[in-house]
Amino acid sequence: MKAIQKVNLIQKPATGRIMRMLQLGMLWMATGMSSIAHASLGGDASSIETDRMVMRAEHAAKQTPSPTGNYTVYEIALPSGTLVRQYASSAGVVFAVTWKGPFIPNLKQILGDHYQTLLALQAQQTLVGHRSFSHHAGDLVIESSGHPRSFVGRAYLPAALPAGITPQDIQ
Amino acid sequence: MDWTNCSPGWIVSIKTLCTLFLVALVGCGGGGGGSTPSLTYTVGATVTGLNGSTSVVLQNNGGSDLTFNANGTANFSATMPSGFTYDVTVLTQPTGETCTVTNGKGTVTNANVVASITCSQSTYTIGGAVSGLSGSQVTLLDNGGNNTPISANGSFVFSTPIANGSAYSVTVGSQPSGQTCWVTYGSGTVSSANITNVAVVCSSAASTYSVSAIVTGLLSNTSVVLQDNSADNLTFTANGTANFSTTLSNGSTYHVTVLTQPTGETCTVTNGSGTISGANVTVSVACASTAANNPAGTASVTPTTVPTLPTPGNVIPLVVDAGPVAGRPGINVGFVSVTVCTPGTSGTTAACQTIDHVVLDTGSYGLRLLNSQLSSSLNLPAATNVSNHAVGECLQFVIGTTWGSVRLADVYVGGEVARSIPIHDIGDHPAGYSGIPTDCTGQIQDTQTALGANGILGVGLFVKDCDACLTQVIPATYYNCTASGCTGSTVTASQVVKNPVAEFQNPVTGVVQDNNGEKIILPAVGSGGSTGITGSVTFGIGTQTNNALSGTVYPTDVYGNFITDYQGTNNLSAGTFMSSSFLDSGSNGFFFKDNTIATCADGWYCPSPSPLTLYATNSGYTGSPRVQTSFSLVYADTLFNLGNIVAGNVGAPISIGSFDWGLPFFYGRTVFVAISGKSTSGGVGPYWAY
Repeated sequence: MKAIQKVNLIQKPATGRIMRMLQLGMLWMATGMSSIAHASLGGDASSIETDRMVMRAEHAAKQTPSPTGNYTVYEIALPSGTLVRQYASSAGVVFAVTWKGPFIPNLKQILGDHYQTLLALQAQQTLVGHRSFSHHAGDLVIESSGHPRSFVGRAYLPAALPAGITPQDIQ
Repeated sequence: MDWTNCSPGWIVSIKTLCTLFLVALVGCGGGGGGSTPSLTYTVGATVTGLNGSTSVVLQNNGGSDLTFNANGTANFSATMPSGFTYDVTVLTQPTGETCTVTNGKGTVTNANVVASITCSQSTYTIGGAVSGLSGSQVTLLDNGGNNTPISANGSFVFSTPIANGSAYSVTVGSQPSGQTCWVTYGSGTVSSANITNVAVVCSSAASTYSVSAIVTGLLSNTSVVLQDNSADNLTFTANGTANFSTTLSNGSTYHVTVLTQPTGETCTVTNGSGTISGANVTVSVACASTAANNPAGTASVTPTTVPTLPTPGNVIPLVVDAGPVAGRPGINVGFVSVTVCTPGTSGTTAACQTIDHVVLDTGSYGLRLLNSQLSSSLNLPAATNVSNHAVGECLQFVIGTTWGSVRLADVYVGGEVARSIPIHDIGDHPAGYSGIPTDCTGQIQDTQTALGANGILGVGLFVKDCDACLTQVIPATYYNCTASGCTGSTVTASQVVKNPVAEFQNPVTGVVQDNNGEKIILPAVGSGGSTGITGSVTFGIGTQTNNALSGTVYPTDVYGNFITDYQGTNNLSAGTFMSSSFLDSGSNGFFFKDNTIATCADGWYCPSPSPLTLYATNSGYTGSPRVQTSFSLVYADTLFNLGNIVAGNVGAPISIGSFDWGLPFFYGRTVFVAISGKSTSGGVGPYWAY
């Protein structure tokens, strides 16, 4: 894995949510590997290896650089059969995660801080429904659907997409 | 003897005569005149098998006693001429042996004769060793006799040998004072060898021994009663060790069982039976929680017996209504009722409870019921794993996570029953552990308000809710639970939660029936939605006159998915291929990605104009058959704002690559769900057909 610049996440100081992610990311770097959930989405690309270990994926992440070189896709295969892909920009920011497979992956691990957001949003759903969830906002997009034996989903930070990638490319 | 045959000139003196007579006797042949002298032959015997210290006496023609003191060959002293008969017999058998004669009888025919005498042992000695004797004397008996007093430790031999093939039985005649002796290896049948292994062990220790029990896992405020040998009762009100009051002598058997189980628990005895062999015995009794553990605030329901089963037994109503939670709006959720009973009970002795508003879900597998809705009097036993611990299960849906214990129940759906199958008891604490494992993440839905239903009946394409869990520890699935915590584990086929349809049998005969899938029918719903509709679920495909297969069969892959070519036609033009597509009565809309359709603020599609007619071509997961279908999508918020609509053709976007055909797809259709591995007239499942 080539050297990646240290965390800085976003050029513009954007919203409070992103500032909070910055603080969390710095805290993580300062304390090294601690047992708290590591923010992957929005975190540093080096957290991908932590995610892999926590989720017990055997092999190192398969890395596929984009044609433009703006970002790299890290793919890890969980023992349960689910594939998790994490998209990291060349600046070292994980701006998108996707998953597909027979079991929901540890979303707390790969969504990090955004996991609580997901739970809160789901609790606000006013209609009974267990099979799909979709949230689109300027700072966060989460889509999750499927049934036991087949789940698919993705989450990305629209403001953090590097040039040359569209939401369509995030699968 | 015919003197006339003798040559003259031989007659001389008497002495000479006698000599000559003898010579003449030997020399003369019988009958006829012969001038050649006649010969005599020896008769002898070869003795084998004689053991060194005995001897055998043989006779020939009742005389000429010949004694053998050792194996070998010897001749009788009297020789015999040709033509004489010989008969070799045993006069005196050797002590402890039997000799038999072969080739011992016949006529001398110009040759010496040797008979064969084969001797073998006919009796064997009985003996062994005494140990532990101190000071006094013990007498031993063999077959009740041959009284043998023994005063010192060491080997012994009874003086009376026992015939080969006969039984021997060594017992203690009189005990030494202050000690008890007992015999092991003391009886059997003599089989061509001396017996040397009779063991007589004497001991000054007590001759009776105690049986004790160690009880673990007993909850407070309850007790367990154990019983030894069907008579000796022992009550435990707390964990610990205690002795049964009756002591047992050496060689007697013990058999410890549970006479009365504690309330809400099942205790199991390990190593509970055996024979006392010179030492005290301790038996282990492990207790674990079994009864449904209802949280506070549950309305108690008195169980009933098995309700009258409907006719036909394989059809039940499917109702789409607002659900059991007042004020909690729901749309497109189909409900059925199920009856659960304590397993192994039937008829008037059964303890059963009917649960309504259970979601009919073709997208999951297994029955899941809220513990808060179950009567504690059902006493559904907890499934226990190979470690005899309770089994916990975490099942994560996209929205909502169910955590609870796995219990066994007889599940009646209509007139079908699945006997003693594992179900998911949502909100129940496995083994009494009140926490939730940290990797069982998601919004926990263990109340009626959170779940929006009393349970979920998963009747999808597969038998088990997790196949990989049998061989692999997968996070957030199954757990091994004790009162102090749950750890992720595998699960066996007898504990994994199962699709009840796959286990259906006739309640009366027990014959497997209607277990290969089901047929779902719902009436069509117009663009204005409906305030309530009723359809039906018919169990079995092609198994009765009311469930023949119709429509097109679409096989799915091992994940339950087939292919939706969204806006593709079945002739040529392809649309957007979504290869993780599925039919799902547990989804409450059409879920698919189409960025060209407008959405409302709540995220649901709000096309304008409404309704919007759309089409797609579905195919089996291999790409065939390809059949185009159309569906209608309405402006969702119009229906929602009416407040009383429970069914409508609404939809919302999800990730690309997947089309989730939820309950609205079933409106106005007949849909078949064929279970993986089960045979039907349309082939072996898994497949959808419509």
